[in-house]
Amino acid sequence: MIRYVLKRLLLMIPVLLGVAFIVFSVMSLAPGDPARAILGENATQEQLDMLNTQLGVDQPFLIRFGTFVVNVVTKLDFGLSYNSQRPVFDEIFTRFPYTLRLAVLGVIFSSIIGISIGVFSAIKQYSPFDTISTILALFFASVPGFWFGMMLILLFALQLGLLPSNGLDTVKHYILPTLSIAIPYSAGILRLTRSTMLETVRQDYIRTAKAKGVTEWVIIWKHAFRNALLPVITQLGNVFGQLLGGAVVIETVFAIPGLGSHIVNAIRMKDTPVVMASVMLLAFFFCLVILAVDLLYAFVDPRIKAKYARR
Amino acid sequence: MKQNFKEIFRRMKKNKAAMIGLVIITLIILTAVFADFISPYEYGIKQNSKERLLPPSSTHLFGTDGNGRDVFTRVIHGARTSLTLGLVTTLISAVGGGVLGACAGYYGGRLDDFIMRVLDTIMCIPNMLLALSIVAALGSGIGNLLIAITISNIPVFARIIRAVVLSIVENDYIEAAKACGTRDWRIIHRHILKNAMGPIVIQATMSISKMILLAASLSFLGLGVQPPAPEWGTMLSEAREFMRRAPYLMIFPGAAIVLSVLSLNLVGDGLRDALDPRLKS
Repeated sequence: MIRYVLKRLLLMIPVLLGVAFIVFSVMSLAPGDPARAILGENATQEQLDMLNTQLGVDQPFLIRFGTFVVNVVTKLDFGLSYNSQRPVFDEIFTRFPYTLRLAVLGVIFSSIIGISIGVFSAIKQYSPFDTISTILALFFASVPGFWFGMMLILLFALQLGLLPSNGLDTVKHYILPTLSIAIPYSAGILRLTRSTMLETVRQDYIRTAKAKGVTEWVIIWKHAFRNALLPVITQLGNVFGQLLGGAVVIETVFAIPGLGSHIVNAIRMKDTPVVMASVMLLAFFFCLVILAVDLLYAFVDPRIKAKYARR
Repeated sequence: MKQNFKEIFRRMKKNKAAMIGLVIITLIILTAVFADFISPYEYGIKQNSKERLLPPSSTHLFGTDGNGRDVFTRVIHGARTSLTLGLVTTLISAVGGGVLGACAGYYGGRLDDFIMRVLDTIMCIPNMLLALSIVAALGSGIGNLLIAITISNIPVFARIIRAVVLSIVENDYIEAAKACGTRDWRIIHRHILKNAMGPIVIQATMSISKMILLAASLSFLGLGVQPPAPEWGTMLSEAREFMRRAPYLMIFPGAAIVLSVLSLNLVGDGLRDALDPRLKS
């Protein structure tokens, strides 16, 4: 098992490098002169040339990428923000916790809602509860999170005045953003849980369990649910990634000072280093989540565990 | 092939939800095509300071926005933008992903390894972020939006098509075709891709709705379709300013997104059930 974990960790290195390479190459397509962006309109040509040489802009692409990677790995140095002249890393690091917290809350709530309703729908297939939750899930799976968020603001903040609509200062501030991501995403999880549960309860081992007189409760939770959980876990990993990306929109709607809204501002300011570093940080984090999901799989599924234990 | 479609349609007809979806999406497509006849483009583009922020009435079904433009006109012309974006990006990414996936699956070996490694790495970057960074690098605008969301959609298609190709390559008739000396591209095109049409069509239907959502999100952030062009995401972003005074401005473009995405999803679900009755639950 330890060997498996170590192997997976080592395999992360080329993946992270690849992600960095892709983001770096995409961002280097951005037109414009870094020195001009930093020094402003009034700088002389000499000053521009000097700073560009200092920044290494005139170097070949691969050397620039190499220097970038070395700086990031050794010093956590993502360069300077064009806009504030401060190290990019300091800027984005203080904002990252907001984004992460929202994504984690989103995953937790969407999985609680989605999995529990999904399992009950599957148990009571064709009951009114099942019909209603399936229709609601179909509807919410098609609702864009940011629009749902705006509707929630309209209802709870503007009409009823119950909840605050922007910022993330108190616990109350978290309710609307969390709901606006958790409910649309729980719809997808609900549908998946329901269909995998329905598939699992048709398996032979469930019939065997029933035949030997195991109680309904034990069959559902011990035999069926644990097996149905596997695809759901993969889905949760994907949801996490989508939430990290979707943070861009949700944070804009709720004016949350996280990484997502920061990226949008940086794009408007043409602050390439900030955009690049933020996207990379979020993508790296998503890679780690995928890894964690794979490892979790190994723990949840004894078949995978056994495969590696023998070695 | 023709017979296949008839059979699939016959099965889909029994699925009420899918038929509702099909009717709604057909209506939306018709509205998009005949948008100019229903309400001329200029009503949705021309500013009219006298008629700012009028609530919905018989002259302005969905009211007017902050610039005095008719929201109903903007919503139906927005359908044109969103559906075109969804269709075009899906088509290009299906072809692009199809070529990559088919090559990877058919030739296998090192080429497969290489293509899949690269695609897996791209998939480690959440869709939205990849599209966002491409737009950040190229600049906003409808053309760059199209490029950005197409690229972010290619890996998904490539993966699915590769998986389907891998399952078909095993068949005897492929070996027979190879033994007859049929050229590779002809085998891929005639024998493999035609048999793989089912999963590709399902994926494409789902992809159109995903692309509509992605395009709307990017436009909402001000990075996609630029005002004054009517697009649902852009309209929602403009409507935020008048949240208190004119909440109806936010309802209609959002409802349009939900309706089109929902109907496409219903059709996609229906197609999946019709093409693979085993999965039907």
